[in-house]
Amino acid sequence: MSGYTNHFSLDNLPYGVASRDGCLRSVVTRVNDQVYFLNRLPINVSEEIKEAVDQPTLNALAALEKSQLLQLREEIRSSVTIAASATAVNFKDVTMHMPVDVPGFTDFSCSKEHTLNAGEAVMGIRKLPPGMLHFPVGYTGRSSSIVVSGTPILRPYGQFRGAKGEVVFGPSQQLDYEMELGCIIGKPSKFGERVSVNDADEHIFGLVLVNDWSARDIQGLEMVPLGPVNGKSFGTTISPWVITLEALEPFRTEAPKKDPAPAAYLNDLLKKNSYRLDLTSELVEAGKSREDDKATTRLCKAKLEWMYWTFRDLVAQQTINGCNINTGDILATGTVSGLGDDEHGCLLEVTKGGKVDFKISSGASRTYLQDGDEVTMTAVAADGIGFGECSGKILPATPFD
Amino acid sequence: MAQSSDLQPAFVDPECGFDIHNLPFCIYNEGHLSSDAASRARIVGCRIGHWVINLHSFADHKEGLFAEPAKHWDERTKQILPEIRDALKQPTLNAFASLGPEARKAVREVLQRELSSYKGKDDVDHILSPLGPFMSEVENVTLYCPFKIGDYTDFYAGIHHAEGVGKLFRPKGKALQDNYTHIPVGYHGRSSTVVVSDTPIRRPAGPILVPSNSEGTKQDIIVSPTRKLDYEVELGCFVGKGNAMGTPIPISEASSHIFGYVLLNDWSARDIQAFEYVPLGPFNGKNFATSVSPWVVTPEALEHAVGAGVQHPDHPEKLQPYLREPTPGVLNATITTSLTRAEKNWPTTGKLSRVDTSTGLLWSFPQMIAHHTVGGCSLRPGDLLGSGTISGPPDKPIQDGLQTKGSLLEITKNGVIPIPWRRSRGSGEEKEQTGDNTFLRDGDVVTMSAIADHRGTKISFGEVIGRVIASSQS
Repeated sequence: MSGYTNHFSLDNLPYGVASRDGCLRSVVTRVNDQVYFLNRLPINVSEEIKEAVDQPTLNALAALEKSQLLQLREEIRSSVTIAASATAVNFKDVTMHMPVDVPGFTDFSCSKEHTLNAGEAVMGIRKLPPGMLHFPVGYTGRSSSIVVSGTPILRPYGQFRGAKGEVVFGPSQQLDYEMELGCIIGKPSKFGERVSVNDADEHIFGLVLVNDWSARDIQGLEMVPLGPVNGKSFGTTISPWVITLEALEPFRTEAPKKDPAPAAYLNDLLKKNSYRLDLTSELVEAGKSREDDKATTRLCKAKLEWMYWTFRDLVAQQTINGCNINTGDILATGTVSGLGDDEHGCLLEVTKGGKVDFKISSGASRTYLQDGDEVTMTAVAADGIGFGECSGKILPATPFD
Repeated sequence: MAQSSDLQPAFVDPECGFDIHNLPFCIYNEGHLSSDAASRARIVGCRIGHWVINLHSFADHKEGLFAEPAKHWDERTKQILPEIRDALKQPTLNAFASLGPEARKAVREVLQRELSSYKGKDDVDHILSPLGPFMSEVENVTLYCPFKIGDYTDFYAGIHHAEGVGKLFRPKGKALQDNYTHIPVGYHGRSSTVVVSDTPIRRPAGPILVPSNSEGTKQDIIVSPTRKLDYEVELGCFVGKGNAMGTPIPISEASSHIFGYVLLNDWSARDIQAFEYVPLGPFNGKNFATSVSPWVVTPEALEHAVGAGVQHPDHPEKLQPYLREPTPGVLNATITTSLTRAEKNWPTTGKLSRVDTSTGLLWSFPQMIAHHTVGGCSLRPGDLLGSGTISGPPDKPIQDGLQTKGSLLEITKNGVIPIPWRRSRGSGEEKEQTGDNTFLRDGDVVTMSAIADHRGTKISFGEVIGRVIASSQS
């Protein structure tokens, strides 16, 4: 199993929350294969930072001013360089936990390709929703369902239409994943005030991978007119390492040009408003382990820079009406998809709504996920700067009495 | 527990709705909106009459809440007394709610026993011990949102509202979606913008479609303060005990996961909502603000106010078993909505609507809880559920001179008919309004209040009040 050593050079320095035998969970970073507990690292920082890195979540750290966070980053870099091996723990000897408490979770639709493919799969027509080109369309997600990578995902029970169109109740037969990225809010905003798109980065602490597991059949029955609820709220997985915008600075790039021109509040003056990140997702077949021959199938390879809307746009949209953002909030991109057949970030698109099956590496067939299947995703900016992994295995539904 | 009014402390007016049978919980502090109120700790309280009892201090007092555990309390309740004490010292009701119904019933019982010993005393100042020092008059306290809300879900259980809105937007199509009677449909709301009564509500701005020709066949997209600001009359339900992820709550246990009820105003910007809601549901049109009343009315106070809701031919025969309640659990309260509109320098207050919730709701809160968790979603203490807008049946749009619909969208038919409300202006004259009289204006105050029945005694929910203030954008 890849340890993702090459994701964690000294230029990354992500934040996470970990515990090890006999120690309470607290804030960590990682360099190569070594995890450093920041409350043990000899760093010259303020009392505020010292207290923040002692906490069981990143929320206190994320709420600090960026100037403090930059100072911490420099201190960490020099401290781990000076062979602080006494405080280092191999990544295999720690347990990673949920990095943040999430007060609010919003999922947006940033990808035109995903939206068109999904529309075609579900309704037979490739058509963008009325708002799509004018603002990032989003829906509020369920915070209590967000779990850290590695947590098993239980197939949900629910109501959906059976083969003859009648409404039935049972375990979902159309379990899907969605490959997404999310930004984590650091500095909060005030109730009643909006954040300008040009100030958005000040509020973003860092990025994580997000798997927005979906039960397409349950979602399909409930969605009109209020959007998805039970089709999504049975589980959402995020990666444990929060990658800072500072680490991604060299990978800034321009998002696709907006056409039509956006409203003033979405008129981003920053040219390089997105990031070059390559995302990949893979399926590990049920009953096999990753090292087994032909156990793994590449599902998708896609780029963040294809997204029509950027994280900066999402912050502006969330707050345009006075809604506030709080430390630990997650704003996600929605499925990251491209034009090619191997660039679809969810199985709904690949299988055209479950109608077309595909072959996995072993020769077995799939439309949607089977019990025991594991989906794993990763993202990389360049060698040395990556996100590690976001994974989850599907467990069979608990029978209903 | 005896029901006799002999139990009432003499200092409580039985008509006020906050007598010994109610005893709602709240979070407050002492200090009447003064600048230093913010620095004072928030504490758990319980209302009786026009007073709030400081449960934080009373829990600790040597003659206080748990000086003598009742002999008839079961072992579990006795065992969790230290946890109850700790929970009552928190700045939100979350810890107390997480302990489940036994903790709430134990505290309620002790308070009722304590309060019932005050019969014959007229003036709370003359109460020697032990409650007097722990009581503040309601006018002198600041009230806060009673919970730290992890997640808020708004349902759509008001069938007449759903049908009415469906007819408005699809006059030739089906009024109700096919899924409506199978599933209590809903959407995730934004917990960060749930605010307590009296919080000003800033008119939200966002992208809207406006007609660009007189035929209305062409539309422009502009970003503007909403021109269709609305309110929605709802009941709110706070979760007590939660459930673990992956473990659905059976319908037979769902009511035991309810801590209490509030009034909820689901402020809505109809034009922002219309442009955004396909296909992912309402978002900016709703998440700018939601108001809740400060008094959390307990299931015990409302035990005689639950029963059948709206009857539907498909219920209960065609209901999936996980949604079939052992006994009907729809809450019945009468919610009255008033609109205060400033005209020149003279505020005009008018009662606008009144609705009995059981005439508008198809689904109950236990059914919403069972559905919400059926796929394994976890509810946590302090989570908020909204019933959805409650409107009365379409064959009775007006009753006793008041509207029975729960939103201006329905009352004005999406801005076509002016708001018809009974205005009182001292002299009783009614005056024709000029200008926009279909949706809310800056300066308007919307007040919702509700009463439920407890065998002839009134149980009040208090009020949820919100004043609209101007957008910060032109």
